[in-house]
Amino acid sequence: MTNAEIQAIFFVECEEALCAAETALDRCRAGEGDDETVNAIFRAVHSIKGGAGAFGFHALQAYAHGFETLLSDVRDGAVALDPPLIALSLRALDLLGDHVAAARQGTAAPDDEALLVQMAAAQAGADADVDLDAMLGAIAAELVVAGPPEDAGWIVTMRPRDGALANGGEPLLLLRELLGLGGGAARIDTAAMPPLADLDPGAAWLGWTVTLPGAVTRGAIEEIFDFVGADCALSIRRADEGAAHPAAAPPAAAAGCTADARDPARPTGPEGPDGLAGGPSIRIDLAKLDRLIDTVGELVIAQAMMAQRLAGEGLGDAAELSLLEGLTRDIQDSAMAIRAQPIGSIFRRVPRILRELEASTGKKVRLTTSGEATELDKTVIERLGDPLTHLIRNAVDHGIEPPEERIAAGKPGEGTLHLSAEHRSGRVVIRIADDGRGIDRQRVRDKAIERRLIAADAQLSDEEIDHLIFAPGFSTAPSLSTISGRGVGMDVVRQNVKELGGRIAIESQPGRGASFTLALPLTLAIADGMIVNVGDQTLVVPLAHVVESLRPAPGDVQHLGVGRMMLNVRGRFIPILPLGSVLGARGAVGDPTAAVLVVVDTESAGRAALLVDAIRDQRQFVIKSLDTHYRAIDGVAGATILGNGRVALIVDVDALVASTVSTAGALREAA
Amino acid sequence: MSVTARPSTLLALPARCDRAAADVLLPRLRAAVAAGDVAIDGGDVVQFGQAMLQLLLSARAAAAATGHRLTIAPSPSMRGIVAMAGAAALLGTGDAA
Repeated sequence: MTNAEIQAIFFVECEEALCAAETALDRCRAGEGDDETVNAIFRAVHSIKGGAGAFGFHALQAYAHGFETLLSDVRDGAVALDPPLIALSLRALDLLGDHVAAARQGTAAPDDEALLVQMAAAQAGADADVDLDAMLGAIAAELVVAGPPEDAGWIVTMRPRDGALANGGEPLLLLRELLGLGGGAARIDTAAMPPLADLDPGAAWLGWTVTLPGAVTRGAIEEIFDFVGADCALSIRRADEGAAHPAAAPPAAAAGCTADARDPARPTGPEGPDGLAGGPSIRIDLAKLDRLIDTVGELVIAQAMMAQRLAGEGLGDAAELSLLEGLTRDIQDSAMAIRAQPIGSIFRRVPRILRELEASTGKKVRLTTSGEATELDKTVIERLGDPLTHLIRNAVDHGIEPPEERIAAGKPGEGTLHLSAEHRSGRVVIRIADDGRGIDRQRVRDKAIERRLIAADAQLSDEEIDHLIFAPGFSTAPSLSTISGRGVGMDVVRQNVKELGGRIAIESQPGRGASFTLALPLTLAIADGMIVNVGDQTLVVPLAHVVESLRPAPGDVQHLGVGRMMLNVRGRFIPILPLGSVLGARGAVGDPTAAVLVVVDTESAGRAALLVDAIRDQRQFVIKSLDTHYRAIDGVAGATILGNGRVALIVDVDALVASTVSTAGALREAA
Repeated sequence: MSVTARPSTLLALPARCDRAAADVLLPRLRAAVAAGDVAIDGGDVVQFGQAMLQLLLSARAAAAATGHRLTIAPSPSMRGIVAMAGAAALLGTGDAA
């Protein structure tokens, strides 16, 4: 066996040791740790240190030694493994992973000085409480005195956009993390700043350029901006390349990347990118993958057309047809599976967000997760970051109480945030639940009346009051907060989820906590729908919105003024929307008793009944963007091609109902 | 020759200098800069964000443009964050200790 082969085995063992240590630390964080758990962490770090010494990876060996010394004290009971130390150990473990990666690639070791100082301080019992904000000054000082790194490898330019501040974000935290990668002094760009007379401090006027060492991976830089989305223009270029125009931060920047957006130089261990065991893999250009998905969509349409034509010829029951149908579905599933990624890739970024929130709010939060292996479409994953981050921020900022308040209420001082994901009925259901104070319904109601969202005498159910927090501009925060911003976030969250074709629901129990449930499609390309006829048009109503369909008896429909009708559904009145007149279809049935009513549920305007001539079918449909092929149309979410070759418009149920029935009106009528 | 001292306004920054604090400070700072020299006491600052940073940068530029002085006495935390953001020279807060 060659030395290189032995080294390769060492690095595989390093990955296993890192994984084992992380699992053990997670158990400690969950309060399930014991002496053996601490021993497991110690053994893992010790074995990495030993191997590093044997192969001459001195930086790795020295750092592992520092970490091991702290763990030795923990094992001996000299230092208590309390939550701050667990948090510190997790960060130390992350850096150990970076050290291992640097040794494997033969690149410069990461800057470990700050963490080694903190670990030494924890050992000495001095300031073991890791308060990031309190430390900011000292860390900043270290960073600023450092000049540009000797091996300048990356030039990173970040320019926060207005949204970075509007959503309660703090761009300076991003800058701090960026400098934490070993960058030299940040160069500030104030060129865009207006005179004081015109200044809006809530808009973002500054930009920064930071030079980072070549040992840093692109992935490590991008990871800092993972949850920033379009709120920050970001340019990452090699120091030896020409200037590049800033692009939106990832995941938006990932649109033109390869399917695996990680740094090509980053080693791939025995585990896949998401920590799951997998076989050999290849990189596929994302554009090629999208073409494949498009072609599969065309295949689905062609198959449906052929089935319809053969049925017309009396050959609808041909065995070959069902075989082709099965194969088409298999190809479709396989193509979708290529784009599918485990949601764990998002969940794993949450501890870092929580650590920052804990530091800025003084609250303590324990994170539990389940269903990390649940897979959904890459695009959905990428676009899920923003709403998920906001819900987590919201849960910590507004839901979970400060420790003293929790203890006074008979709860543990540490709050719990549970993230879960599962496949249910062809959709992915993601739940963010906290055990905080729940939604203060009286306060929400008062605020809604004050904002004229509801009438002062409106009789609302608890569920309806809870959903008011999604109303645009609604805020219950007694004071402005850097965490959740101005309360503008929840309607944005709902909008984000809606744009993903998903739904969001709230459950809240006063004093016991709240949970937000996101139901998302597995893919954005193909969905289930109800094909309906409305006059001379064939339309598709996405099945995700459909509650039931019914033919009303004459007494079930009540007329209110000119052209306004309400449907009595088991004692509850909901507005009727004649799709024909709303969308301008000619020859549509106008009498509800002679038509079919499809009861739909919407996020913003509650339930409504869509009046259609008839229901033709229920099937999967391939979503084609109207924006791309024509232009955006109000009330229309896109188009699809039916089996007979005709184009059918997909109804944007949320927008249509919301624009026709105002929230206040709907709530008042519902009362 | 007599020298007339320009009125100097002292403004204190809160511990948490976030966007909300910047919104509150903005009108007072505009008035103070227009009136004369301004001294800003940042001794209590623990948290310091971009909104406040750009407000102070803009105010200092405005003061300079009108021949007034705007001085800042930062807390160690504030000095560190301003230095980290590469704005120490622009704000005259000095390098982080």
